[in-house]
Amino acid sequence: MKNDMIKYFKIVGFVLVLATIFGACEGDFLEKPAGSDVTIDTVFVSTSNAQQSIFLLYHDDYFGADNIALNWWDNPQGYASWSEIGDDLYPSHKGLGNSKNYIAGSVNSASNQMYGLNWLYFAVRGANTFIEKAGTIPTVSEEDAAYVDKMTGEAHAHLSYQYFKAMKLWGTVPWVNKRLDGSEDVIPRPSFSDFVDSMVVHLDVAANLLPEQWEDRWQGRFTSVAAKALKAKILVYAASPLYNGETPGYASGYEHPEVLGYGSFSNERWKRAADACREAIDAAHAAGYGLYKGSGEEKNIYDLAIKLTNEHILYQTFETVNSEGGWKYCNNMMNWPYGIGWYNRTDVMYQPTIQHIDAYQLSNGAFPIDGYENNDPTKPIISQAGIDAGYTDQNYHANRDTRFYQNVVYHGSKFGENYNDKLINFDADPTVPDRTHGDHAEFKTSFMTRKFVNEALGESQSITYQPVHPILRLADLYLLYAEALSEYNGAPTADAIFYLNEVRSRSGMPNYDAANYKGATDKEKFHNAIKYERKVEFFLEAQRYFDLRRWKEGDELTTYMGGVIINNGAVSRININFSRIFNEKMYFHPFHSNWVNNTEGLYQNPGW
Amino acid sequence: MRKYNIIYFSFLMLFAISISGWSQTDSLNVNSEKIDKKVNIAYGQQSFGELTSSISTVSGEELEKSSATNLGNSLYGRLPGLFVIQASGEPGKDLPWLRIRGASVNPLIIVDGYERDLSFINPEEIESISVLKDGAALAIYGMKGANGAIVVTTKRGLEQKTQISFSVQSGVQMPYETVDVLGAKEYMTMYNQAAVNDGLSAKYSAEDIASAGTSPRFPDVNWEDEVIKKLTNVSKANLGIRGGSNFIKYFVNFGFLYNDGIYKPENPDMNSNANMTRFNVRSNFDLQVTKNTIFSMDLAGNFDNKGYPANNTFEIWNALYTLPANAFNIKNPDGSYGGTSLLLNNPVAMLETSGRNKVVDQYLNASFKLTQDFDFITQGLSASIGYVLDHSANNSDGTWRYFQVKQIAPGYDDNYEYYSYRENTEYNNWSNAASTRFSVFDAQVLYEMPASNEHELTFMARFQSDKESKANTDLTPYVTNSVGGRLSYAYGNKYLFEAAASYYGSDQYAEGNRYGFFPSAAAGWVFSNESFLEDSKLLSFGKLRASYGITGLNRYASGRYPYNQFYTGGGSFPIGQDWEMMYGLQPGRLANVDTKWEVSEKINVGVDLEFIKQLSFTFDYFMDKRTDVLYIDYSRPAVTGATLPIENIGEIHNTGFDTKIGFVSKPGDFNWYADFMLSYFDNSIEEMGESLSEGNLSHLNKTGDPYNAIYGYEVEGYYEAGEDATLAPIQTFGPVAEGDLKYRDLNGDNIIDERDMTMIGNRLANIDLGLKIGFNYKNFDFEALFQGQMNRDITIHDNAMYQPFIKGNGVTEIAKEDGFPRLSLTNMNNYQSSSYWVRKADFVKLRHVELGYSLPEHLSSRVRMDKVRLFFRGMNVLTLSDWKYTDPEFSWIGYPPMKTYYLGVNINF
Repeated sequence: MKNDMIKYFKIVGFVLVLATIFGACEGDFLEKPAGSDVTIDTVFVSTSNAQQSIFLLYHDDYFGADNIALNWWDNPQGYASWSEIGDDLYPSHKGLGNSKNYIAGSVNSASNQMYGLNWLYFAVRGANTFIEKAGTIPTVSEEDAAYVDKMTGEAHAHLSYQYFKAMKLWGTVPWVNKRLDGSEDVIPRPSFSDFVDSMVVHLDVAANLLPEQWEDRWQGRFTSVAAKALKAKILVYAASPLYNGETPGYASGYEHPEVLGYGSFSNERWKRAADACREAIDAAHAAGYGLYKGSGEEKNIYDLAIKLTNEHILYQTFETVNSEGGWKYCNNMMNWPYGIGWYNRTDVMYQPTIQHIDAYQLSNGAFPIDGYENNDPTKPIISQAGIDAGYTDQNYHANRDTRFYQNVVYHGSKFGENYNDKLINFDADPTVPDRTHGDHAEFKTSFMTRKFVNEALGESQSITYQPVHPILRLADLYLLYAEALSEYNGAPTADAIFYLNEVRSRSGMPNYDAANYKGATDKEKFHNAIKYERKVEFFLEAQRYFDLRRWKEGDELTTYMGGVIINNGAVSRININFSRIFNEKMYFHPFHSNWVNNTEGLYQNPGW
Repeated sequence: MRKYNIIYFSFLMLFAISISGWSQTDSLNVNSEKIDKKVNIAYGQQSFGELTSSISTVSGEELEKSSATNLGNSLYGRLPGLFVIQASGEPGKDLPWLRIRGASVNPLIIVDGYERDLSFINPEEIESISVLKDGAALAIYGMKGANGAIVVTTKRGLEQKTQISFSVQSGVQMPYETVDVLGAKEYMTMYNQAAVNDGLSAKYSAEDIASAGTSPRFPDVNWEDEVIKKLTNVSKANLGIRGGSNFIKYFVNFGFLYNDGIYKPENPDMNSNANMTRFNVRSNFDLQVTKNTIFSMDLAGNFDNKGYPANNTFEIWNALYTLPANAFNIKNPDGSYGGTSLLLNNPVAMLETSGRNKVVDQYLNASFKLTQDFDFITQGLSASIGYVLDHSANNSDGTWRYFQVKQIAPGYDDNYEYYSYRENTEYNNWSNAASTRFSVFDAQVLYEMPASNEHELTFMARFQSDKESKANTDLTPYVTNSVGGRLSYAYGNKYLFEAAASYYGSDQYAEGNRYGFFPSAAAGWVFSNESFLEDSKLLSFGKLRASYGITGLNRYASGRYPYNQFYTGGGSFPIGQDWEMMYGLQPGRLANVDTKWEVSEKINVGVDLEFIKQLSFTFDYFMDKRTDVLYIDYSRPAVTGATLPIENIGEIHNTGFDTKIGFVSKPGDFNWYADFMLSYFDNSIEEMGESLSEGNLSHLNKTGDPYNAIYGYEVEGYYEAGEDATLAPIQTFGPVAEGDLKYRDLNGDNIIDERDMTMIGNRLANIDLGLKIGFNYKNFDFEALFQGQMNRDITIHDNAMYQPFIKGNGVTEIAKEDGFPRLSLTNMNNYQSSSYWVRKADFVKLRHVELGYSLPEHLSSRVRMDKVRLFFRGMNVLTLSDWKYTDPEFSWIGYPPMKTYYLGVNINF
């Protein structure tokens, strides 16, 4: 009996010990240790943390994205850019980027998108989060509080920047103005009119909160001038034929025409656009912006493209590069002639077509080429002015608009200052010495791009520079203003001609002469002058694709591309067997079918 | 670290040597029947006859028949339910994929009770390996058990005279199969054909073709011959010492492995070939500290010294398989390396001059256990506590540089001029160090009811806490805690019951979601012990069993602590006059506070039979239903603007069976045996958060397919001569002509694009077979093991080596002999993912074959040895498959698996 008692206590004691050990595991063993992790609760606790959520919006995933080709491993666009699609370029890397479907006209609602809604709404969420949290950021000084206001202005400006991007691609998209968790009610695509007005409202708010200029260390962020300029550009777009008029014929019967445009024409929209341009130009002048003229007529545009000037109102920056490229910015390394300078790179990326070359005016303002027989680039129709100027295919490069020499690298031209007077030699005959292309199978047109390529980089591996890529610059505002004035008044006003000539004369081109342009009316002639100007002025600035679409002149994008071939010095035109195709439903790009399936209220665009 | 190792190893050596002198006591002759054989289960042992769950086992003795350089590669065809999938044959990178019953990732690997690496254990160290497959066997592993478990038990000391076993073997290796690239003449001829097909003129004149290989202007290089050796070598040695007394029991083992690489060119200044040297040592000690207390100390250490070329394996093999024979010279007449602007990767230059990488992996495993008998409380009660400290250090360093290549400029005489590409740079050095520390504390109570005539009862309960810290990558340790137990009851050797459960917690989840309960139950009926069968001569054993259990998977699907809304560093960009870099902060994946482990519900029904004590049969049918599988819900609206959270929304089903038949002849002069096994599963993803397409796009949906499906276009046939391509659906991959593949327009919109893709194959086999046969005749012994997999597809399009001319590729024998579609220099139409490129790659391999001869006892005893055995062994020597161009298990670009022939000797004394 006693033994049993002892045994009983032993067992109970044993169990108690066990229970203590096992019980211990229910404690705080599994709590996450405190650490330096950043969560939403630690971002908006100081202006220095919170500003990083604004910086994100300037990152090239969202800002300026797809304006220029970045390295292929970068999202979202890879090598592709809207310049590749819209400017007259043979895209040698067409197989790599998402641009190929846009160029071939085969884009559809299942193909990879250049700039997707996922990216856009990611940035929108970032801006909305800041606006929502701005009031909760503790500030330590009046200066600090003012900084929060400025950043709130930036958030508003970025919101409109993103939605404008959407408008250019798709028309309107659901207007999201708060953080979503993915289970909300339907947010439908708003009407075009509301969409434009909302962007304008946010930009007005932004312009009020933002400084005219940031202190030196913050240069490059949204200013009140940039907000006004963006507003002007949005309103010029909204007044343009694609939106300001009847719904395009191919979309007749579409259930939601209000998301595509106004549905009817109103000339007052051009007035509203012109006024906004005027206001932005005045603000820019007041803040010290001006056309860049510091390098001389033959160098202004080239220099403007490789350095920051007081003409840059809004721009994208990249880390310092040499000719191997920064780890993102590949424009230099991919467009560098072989054997020039220290770096022997044999890639070729963007090659202007012969059509692009043919488009440049003569230095007297007349056009040497009037078009092509049967659209065949090997059969140009030489205009009277061209004949007068002695144009032949052998000396196609003589006496052209100074911007031709600044934009394009061609056979026989000079590249850089310090390469022992070596000239560009694109001869196809391999026995010709000193050739400057790497026999790349994709080198087709015998032209390369010069703009945005810093020629000095070849001098030494150690030479670097800071690339900038303009998003809005003053010349753009001038031309938008000139366009809006002429459209509103039915003919170019003196102011319209003045601002056009400002841009032309900066590059040494003679004043506007209506006689040089086609068109039945003065307004049409002036429109064609603007079109020419925008094409050569904004080469590689991702403007032309969107300009042609807003003018409903997308057909011009369809091109059977040509180039030249040089054999022992003799130039002949060739077809390069590559076409760019635009079909009219591309006026409003498709949404990816997954987005449409998942997102009630995101109506697919017509025709897709 | 290095110093620490040296001290550690010296300590082990001394200890081992001093102990091995103590041997006494008689040897135990273990001669157990199979039914009584102990099977290692989770934290314990059971006899095979009493098992109610689904477990297959292989003994260390059997594994010693394999000379695999990685233990994983010795498991082919032996364990029903386990699929072993061959990986590369590169020294030190040859761990195969291990999949149990259709799981998509490797199982839990337990070595001597704790989670550890499988790679560096020698077969000679192993007592047995068990594969735990059903819910009842795995419930105690709770949140880690869903993918099954491989339980490795190493040998321990025995109360016996010291036995020393020594083996050494040396072999030659060669690639099983490599892809042949055509010579220059054939290449140029086919290139001309492709050019003509594209409407271009032929590039090479008849003279060019005739001159191939005659001068440096017309190179004709067989890169494979230049880079790959015919043979390389591998050697292994092992020394094991096992014995003990009533005070101490020990097992000490030393292993050595050297495996050389297959590359021919080497950098004269540094060892740039692939190679691996391994030393490993294990010592398991059990000390009887008091009458009732045993102290066990297990130490294991491993030192792997691996070397590789500076260029990664893919670059080297990609160059071998894609360079045209006439691309450039190995070396130009001026001594420079050949190359062109596009083809900079001269493989000889890569190996001779790029540099080398070196990897040193060190593992130290230490476990300590104190076991106390509590017989004074009640008979059969014992308890133990254990502490484990495992440390691994992975140090790598390398030196590399770019090299210059030159191309001979066009011209006609022997006065060569060159284009040069890239410059020779200085060597750059890099190094990297990582380490992991894994510590465990556990406590266990065991009660084995003293034998009574009818009832048998065993109860086990345990607590375990695991903590893993990875230096460099993740400073926060990974922690799991569990309590678990198992109760087994048998009545009259006929009726078996078992219940096991665990309560398992992980630090990965939000408070309130951290612990899960994982119960299981199993029952068995040994009907051969019923009176009506007891005397059966035919049926010597028969058992039916069934089990049900729930296990989980603690998956780190998107990093740690998914219940927190993290922000991460976003992109950078420069700003301001000084071009100062600014760094953004971007919201990470949306937080999901409800995240928890994945759940696997397993049902298993099985039967074990034995006839005339010679023929055994085991069959298991299983159902495995995974729920709460972590997937992203892609049906959320696109306007959310955030990286969507990973949620417990998926569901995956696996069903199947595995079976094994074994036969052993009656003892005699000639003994023979055979084992056959077959495993099968059927896998489907029932729910994966996919944004489902409807109507004529429903073929796009992946829900319902197996997880290893291949997607692409269905091929209808070829375009015929004279066919008007404009009548067929519009192809969007390039202009089409006669001989091009024609794809099926599945959605009927007359355009072939991404919306016509569907499932066209399945990468992972779902049938695995093994057949082992062997015999002993007098002093000779022979064994062969075949293993095969069925229902296996490979795609051959997604490797550049199968796309002749595209981006400068050469032409392989596959492209020539397989009757490829129309050749083209640039047209990608035929190289889309399509059913044309999906090929059946079922195979049967002779995994090992061995002939052994043991010296007659009177000879071996003369040299004071118990046993001397010489053997010849072949590994992977034969493959039967319809797919003949590569190893059917390795159809991509990389270091192929090897076949190996060994000669060796085993000595016991």
